[in-house]
Amino acid sequence: MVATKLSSSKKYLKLFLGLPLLFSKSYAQLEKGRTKVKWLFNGYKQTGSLGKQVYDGSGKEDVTAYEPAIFIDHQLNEKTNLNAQIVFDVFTNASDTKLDAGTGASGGEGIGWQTRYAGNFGAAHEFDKYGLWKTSIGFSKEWDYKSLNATLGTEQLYADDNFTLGVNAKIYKDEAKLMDVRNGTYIDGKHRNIYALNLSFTQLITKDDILHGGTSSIKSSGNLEGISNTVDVNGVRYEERLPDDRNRQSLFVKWIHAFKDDVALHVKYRYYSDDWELFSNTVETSIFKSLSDDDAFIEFSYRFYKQDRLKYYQDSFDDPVIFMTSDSDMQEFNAHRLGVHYERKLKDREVYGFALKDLSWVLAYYNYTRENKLKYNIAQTSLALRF
Amino acid sequence: MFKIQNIFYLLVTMTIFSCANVPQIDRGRISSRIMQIDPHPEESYFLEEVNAYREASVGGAQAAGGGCGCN
Repeated sequence: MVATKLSSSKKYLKLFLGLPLLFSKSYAQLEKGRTKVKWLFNGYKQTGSLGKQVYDGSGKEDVTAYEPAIFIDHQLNEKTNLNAQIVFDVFTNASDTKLDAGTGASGGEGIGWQTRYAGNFGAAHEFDKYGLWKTSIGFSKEWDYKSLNATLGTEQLYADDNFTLGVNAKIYKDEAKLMDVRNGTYIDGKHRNIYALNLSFTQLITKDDILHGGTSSIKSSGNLEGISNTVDVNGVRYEERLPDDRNRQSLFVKWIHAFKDDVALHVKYRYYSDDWELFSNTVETSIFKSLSDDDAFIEFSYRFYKQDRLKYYQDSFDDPVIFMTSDSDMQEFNAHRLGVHYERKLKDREVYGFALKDLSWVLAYYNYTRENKLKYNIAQTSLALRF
Repeated sequence: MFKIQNIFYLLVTMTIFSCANVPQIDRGRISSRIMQIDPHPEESYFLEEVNAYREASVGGAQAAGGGCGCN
């Protein structure tokens, strides 16, 4: 959508079509009756050797995961959009920490290949020229937990579309299995609830600058221990013990600046704190370059993350205490992530009488390293189209 | 649930910047794909999930730390 080379009339058309993108309201992008589909494949490879929470004491945190996902958007009418996301994970963890913070097994062999499937189904409806409601329900299921979630939110435009205010609330009802360390078995029916409230705003500052920010508050309650996390107490393995509630807050701001029509900089900062006395700072920066007359773009990104140690964390304990964890994700560490993302539009084509438009594909790669020796690599590829 | 200072910072920022006004005719550049808040939201969703799993912080993104079995 490069405006400088267009005539005045085309420039206004692009502005009109671009505004829903600008405010992340993807619903009005599609014409009535049209559907957009994106197939996304994520590959994840993690290695680690200092996981003090690993039951067999090996510290190994190796994980390999493959996650195909499909995203579907359908414009039901001029004001209503339906959307769905379906995800299927396959991963293996040979005695190591799973992607979602469990520990593989006792004895070193691991549980082997595991699967997870998840789905989210939502709708958005514009209630007037300047606002919309959106809602969704979702689920996630794996061998050691299941989850239901629901979201309700609204966005409103002000000041001739210069300013957008959004608010949404999300609830998760999770049920996990927790390890009984003494018996080497898992106990069903450990419930946890998560309530999240998010406020966000977007403000056009100049013709080259956008400011986006917000705050999140999240309350977790119930059995909040990691599913298979253990601690070493004077050479004996105990279950991880954590409080049954946690209040978490974050504040973020993002600045987007256009240097030229085809070069943009994104810089984001987030501050996080909670009542388990963990504090963190995150800085993400990306530089984007449009290519091939705006038919493609490439992004180079860097993310720096620094967190303090959770107050209940120790590598090991001399005696059992009320709350104790050795989860490597709760340690004090710095982390760095480098990434590159390439996206390209393809020519429209017709397949079996279906006109396929807005075809695009993506290749992306990310490398992450943490001070406590955990690393991962992510590869992504996707194909999207509209019909 | 909300810390008062978070709301205060948000309101101050909103007040300061709500005075800015970019006319429609000047929005061509900021409506481009690379100027979107997130030019690739589907790919970002997985990255944010991984951040929520592998780090002790959440918020400021789509993931809220639930639905994953992590604490």
